Amino acid sequence: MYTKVGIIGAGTMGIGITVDLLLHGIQTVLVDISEQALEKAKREIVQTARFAPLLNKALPVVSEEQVCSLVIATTDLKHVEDCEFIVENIPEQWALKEPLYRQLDRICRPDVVFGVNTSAISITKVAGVTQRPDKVIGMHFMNPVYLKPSIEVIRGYHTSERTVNEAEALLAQLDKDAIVVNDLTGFVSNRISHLFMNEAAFVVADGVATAKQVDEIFKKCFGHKMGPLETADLIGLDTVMDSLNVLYQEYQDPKFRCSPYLKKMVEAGRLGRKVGAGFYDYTKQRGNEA
Amino acid sequence: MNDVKQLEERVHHYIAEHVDVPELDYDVEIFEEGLVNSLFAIQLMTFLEKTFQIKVTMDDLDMNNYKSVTAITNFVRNKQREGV
Repeated sequence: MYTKVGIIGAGTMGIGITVDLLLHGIQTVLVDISEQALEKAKREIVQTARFAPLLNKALPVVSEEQVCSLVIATTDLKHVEDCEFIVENIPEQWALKEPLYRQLDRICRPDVVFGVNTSAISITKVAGVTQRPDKVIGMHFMNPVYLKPSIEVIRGYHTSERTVNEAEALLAQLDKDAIVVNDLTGFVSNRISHLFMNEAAFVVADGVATAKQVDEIFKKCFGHKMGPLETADLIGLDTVMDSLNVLYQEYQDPKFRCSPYLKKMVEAGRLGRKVGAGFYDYTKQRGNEA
Repeated sequence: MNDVKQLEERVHHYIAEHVDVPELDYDVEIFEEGLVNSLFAIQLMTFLEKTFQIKVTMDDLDMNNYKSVTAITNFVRNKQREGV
């Protein structure tokens, strides 16, 4: 049983995983380079953990004091030295990931598994900068973490069976199943979902349909909970573009070429929900198209 | 406009900003009807605590308290009466 887990990166996913861990009684060391991000994360963690049982009755009701006692928020990476498992959630940029993994490799015990919460970057590539390539595994959590019953787990080229078992054991503590797939850029989820989002942007740019019509076809005809453009707005159009660029570079396949319309929106600062505007305008009423 | 009406209007205004319907009925069940997703509940409770200076406790974690504008208004009124 895991009792202390290190979470690197206090963005949306880092916060979500921290909430899930502490709701299952696991102490968490949350690390970020920004004090400001950690302060914001602490507030969100407390609110989400307090109210999460409303949405998932299986989760325990916890007080603010209990939440605070289980989370250590720090800018000092060394504080993860006694953690039994690491889940990393920093931005999808190799220039940031590479030095981080080299540092983690020095700080953590040799038996500690590194869970890479990436949506596109190769797990084998990450493993290659550590001295423990067999203990690096992809763990693609989905948002909101505490409501999702399964996650995409990615076995890198060197990932051992034991590491897969350890990742499954941690997930079992969180009442989650693992869908274990093999490593190739974008894995299953993003390799497919980003084609949907990108092609949806082309469809809108070509004047075939509005963003709302595209999303309604996915929701009302296909039965998806969200349409591809709502999803893109939720993820952040800059992140979607970054992932498409990674897919394009890795596969050298024109099917991953980022829609010029999507690129223009990013350049115009219409990054989605996080800034109040993307394919939809969120400053007035939800659902108003841009 | 009395206090209750003001409170109800404030809640209505907030919910209306987050749903995609031209008119929002005070009794429509916003989660049941799919006007907002379940995650909105957390955002809503944070708004209620900040705006009306109440504290949502463990006993208040019941979706019935937040299902409509009317239900939310009644919940906030009761909390204010309790003085928490």
